[in-house]
Amino acid sequence: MRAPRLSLLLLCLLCWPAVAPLMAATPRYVVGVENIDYRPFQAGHAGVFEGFGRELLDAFAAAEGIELTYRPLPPPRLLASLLQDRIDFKYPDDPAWRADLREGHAIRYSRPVVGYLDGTLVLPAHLGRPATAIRTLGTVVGFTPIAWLEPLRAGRVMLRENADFDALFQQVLSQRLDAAYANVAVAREQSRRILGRPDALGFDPSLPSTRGDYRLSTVRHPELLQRFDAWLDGQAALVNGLKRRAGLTESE
Amino acid sequence: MVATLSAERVIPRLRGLTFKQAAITLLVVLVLGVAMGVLQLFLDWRGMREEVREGMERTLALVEGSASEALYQLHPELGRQLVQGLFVFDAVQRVELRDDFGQVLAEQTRAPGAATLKTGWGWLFEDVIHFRLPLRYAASGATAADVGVLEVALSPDVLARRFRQQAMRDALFGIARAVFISLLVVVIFYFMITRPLLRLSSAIAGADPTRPGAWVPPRLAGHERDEMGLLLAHLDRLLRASQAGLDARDHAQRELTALTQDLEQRVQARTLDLERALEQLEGQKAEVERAFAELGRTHRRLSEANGLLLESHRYARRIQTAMLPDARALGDAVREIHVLWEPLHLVGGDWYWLERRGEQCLILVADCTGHGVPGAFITLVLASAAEQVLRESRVWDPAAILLALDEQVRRRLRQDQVPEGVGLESDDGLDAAILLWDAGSSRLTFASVGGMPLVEVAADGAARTIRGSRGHLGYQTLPSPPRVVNHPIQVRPGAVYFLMTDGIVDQMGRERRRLLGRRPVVEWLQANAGRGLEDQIEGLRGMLEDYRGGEPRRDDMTLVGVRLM
Repeated sequence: MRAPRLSLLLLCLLCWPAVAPLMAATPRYVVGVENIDYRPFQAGHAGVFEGFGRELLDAFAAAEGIELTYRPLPPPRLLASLLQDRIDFKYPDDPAWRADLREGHAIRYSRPVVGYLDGTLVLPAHLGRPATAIRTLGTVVGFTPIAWLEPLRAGRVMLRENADFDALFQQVLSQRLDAAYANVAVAREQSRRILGRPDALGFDPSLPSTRGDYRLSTVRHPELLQRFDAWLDGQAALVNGLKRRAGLTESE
Repeated sequence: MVATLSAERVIPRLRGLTFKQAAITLLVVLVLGVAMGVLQLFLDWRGMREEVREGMERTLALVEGSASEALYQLHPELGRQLVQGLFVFDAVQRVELRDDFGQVLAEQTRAPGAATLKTGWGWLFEDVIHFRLPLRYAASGATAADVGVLEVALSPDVLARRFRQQAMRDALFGIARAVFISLLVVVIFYFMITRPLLRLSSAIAGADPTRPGAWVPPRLAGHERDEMGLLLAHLDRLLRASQAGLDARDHAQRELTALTQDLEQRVQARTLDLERALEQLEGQKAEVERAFAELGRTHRRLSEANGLLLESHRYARRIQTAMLPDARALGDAVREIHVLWEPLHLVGGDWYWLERRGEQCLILVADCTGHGVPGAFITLVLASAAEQVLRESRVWDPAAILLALDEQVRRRLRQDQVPEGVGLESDDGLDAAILLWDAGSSRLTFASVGGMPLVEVAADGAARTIRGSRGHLGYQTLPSPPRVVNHPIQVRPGAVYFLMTDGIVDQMGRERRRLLGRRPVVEWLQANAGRGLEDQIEGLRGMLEDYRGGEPRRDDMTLVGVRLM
C-alpha cells in the first residue's frame, strides 16, 4: 500500500510546476467597451479604455481579485459581440438600446451604475422651437436616438449619422442638420474640447429626450454580475466619489 | 476579205476574269476572315473574361477599405452607399455586404430589366461572375481581424450581351473589310492583267491565220518588262515561226505535187509491164494447174493402191498371227510365260513357237531375213519346216532341231540345188534359239544359232547371258553351221529366262544417236527383277519407247520371258 501513495506523491510533485500557475491564476474577463470618445463617462477612441467607467471597473476588479481586459469596439459591434460570446461583459449597456436585437437572449444587467441624459441639442438661437421644426436629426454613428424613434419610423424626421462629435457639431452649426441627439454631458464635454466652449449647442428640454442608466451586462457570467451589484451596494461611497471626480451629476 | 482567227466573241460578265477574280478573292478573304474572326472571337472572349476579373478585383480593392470600415462600424448607411456605388457598373447583378456575425449589413439586387434578359450566351462567363472579398480591419493599436465579407455577383447575360455586340461589330467590320479588299484586288487585277489581256486577245482575234507573219502586236504600255510583255513577245515569235512553217509547208507541197506526178508516170509504165507479165503468168498458171490435176489423179491412184496394199498387209497379219501359238500352250509345265511380238510393219520376220510334249516344253524364237512381207514369207517357210521337224523328231534335242531346220529351210527354198554364185533366187535365212524345259527332270537346255542369247535374271537380280553357236540357218551363200552346242542350264527357283531378237536391242536413241545394245536391257531387267513378268515386259517396252523418243523403230521385236519354277 505504501508504493501507490509514494507514486501519487511523486506525481503531484512533478506536476506542481505546471499546475501551480493555473491554480494561482487570476480570473480574466473581457469587457467590451465603446471605442468612441464619450468623456466624461468613458473614452476608448485611442484604443485604451479610460475615464469613469475604467476607474469603476478597475476598482471592482481589484476588490474581487479578478482581471478585466477592455476591448474597445464600435458601439454597434458591442451587442453582437456579447450575444456571440466574443466578450464576457458589455459596458455601458441599457436594455432599451436595440431592444429588438435583444429579444430571445438571456442578457443579465447589473444595477444602474450611473444615470445619463440623452437629449436634443440645437443652436442656441433655436432653443424653444417645437419638435415639428426638426426635420433632420444627427447622431454619432452607433448612437440610438430612442426618443426620436417614433417620428423617425414615421418618416417625419430624417436621421443622419456622423462619424464623430466634431462632424456632428459642424453639421448642426452649419445648419445642415436641424438638431443633434447625444448625451448631454458628453456633448458639453466634446463641445468644450472641440469648439472651446461647452455651450456651442444648447440642450432643449422641451424636445424629446431620454433618461436612463448605464449598466454592466453579461450572458455567461451572471454570478460575477451579482458580485458586482453587491460591490456597488457595498461601495456606494467609492462609486459616488468616482462620479464626482469625473464631473458626472445626476442632472445630466 | 481576210479571215481573222475568230469572230469577236462577247464573254458573259459572270464568266469573265474580273468576276471570277472578285468572287474568288471575296471567298478567300471571307473564309480567312471567318477563320481569323473565330480566333479573334476566342481571344476577345478570353480577354474580356480577364478584363472583367481584373476590373472587378481592382474595384473591390478600391472599396475594400470603405467596406471594411462599414463592417467594422456595423454602419448600415455606409454599407448601403458602398453597395449602391458598385451598381454604377452595369454588369453588377447583386452585391452583399455581410458582417462577421453572419448578418447582412447591406445588400442590393438589380431589378430585372432589358439589360438582364437572357441572351443564351451567358454560359460563356458563368465561371467569372462570382467575387468574394474577405474583409479585415485593424483598429488603432490592434491587429487586423475579420470583419465580414463583400460578395459581388455579375450578370453573365450583361457580359454576354457586351461580348456579342463586340463580336457583331467585329463581324460587320470583317465583312466590310473583305468586300473592300475584294474590290481593291479586282480593280488592281483589272488594270494590271485583265485589260492588257483583253487588248492582247482582241489583237490575236484580228490576226490573219493565212498570214500570221503579218500580225502587228499591240502596244502594252508599262508591260514591256513583265510577264505580259513576255507573253506578247512569245506570241509574236510563235506567229512568225508559224508563218515560216506555212512557207515551208507550201514549198514542200509544191515539191510533193511534182514528185507525185513523176510517180504517177512511173506507176503507169510499171503497170503496163506488170499487165504483160501477168498475161504470161496466166498462161503458166494454166499449165501448172493442169500438172497439179494430173498429180492429184496420180496421188489418188497411189492412195487406192496403198489402201489395197494396206488391206493386204492386214490380212497377212491375221494369217501370220493365226500361225503363232497360244501363250497357254505350255500349260502348267511352266510357272509363268509372257511373249512380246511386235513386227515392224503389220507383218514381220520374227516368229516364235511354243509346244509341249509330255513333260517337255519347247520354246523357239526365230529372226528371219528382212521384215515386212518378205520376212513374213520366210516365217511361213520356217513354220512349215518347224512343224515337220518337231513332228518327226522322236526325242527333242535343241541343237539337232536347229540343224534340221537349217536343212529343211535350205531344201524348201531350194537353196541346196543351185550352185554357189549362180542365179541366186533366194538368199534368205534366219537366226534361231530353242529353250527346252523338261518339267519332269527339271532340266533346261538351250541352243542357239546366229547370236540370239539366253538371258537369265535370278530373283535377287543377278543376271548372266548364255551365247549360242556361230553361224546362221539357211542362206544359200552361207554354209550350214558346223556345230550347234546344247547348253544345259541349272534352273534356279524364281529365275526368269529371256529369249529376244536383235530388234529388241537395236533401238536408235533420239538424244544419244546410238544403238541401245544388250547391256542396258539386261541391266534394266536386273533392276526390275522384283516385278511380275508381264509387268517387266510392259515396263521394258515403255523403257524402249522412252529411249527411242521420236526415232522410228528399225526392226521387228520379239521377246519371250518364262519363269519355270
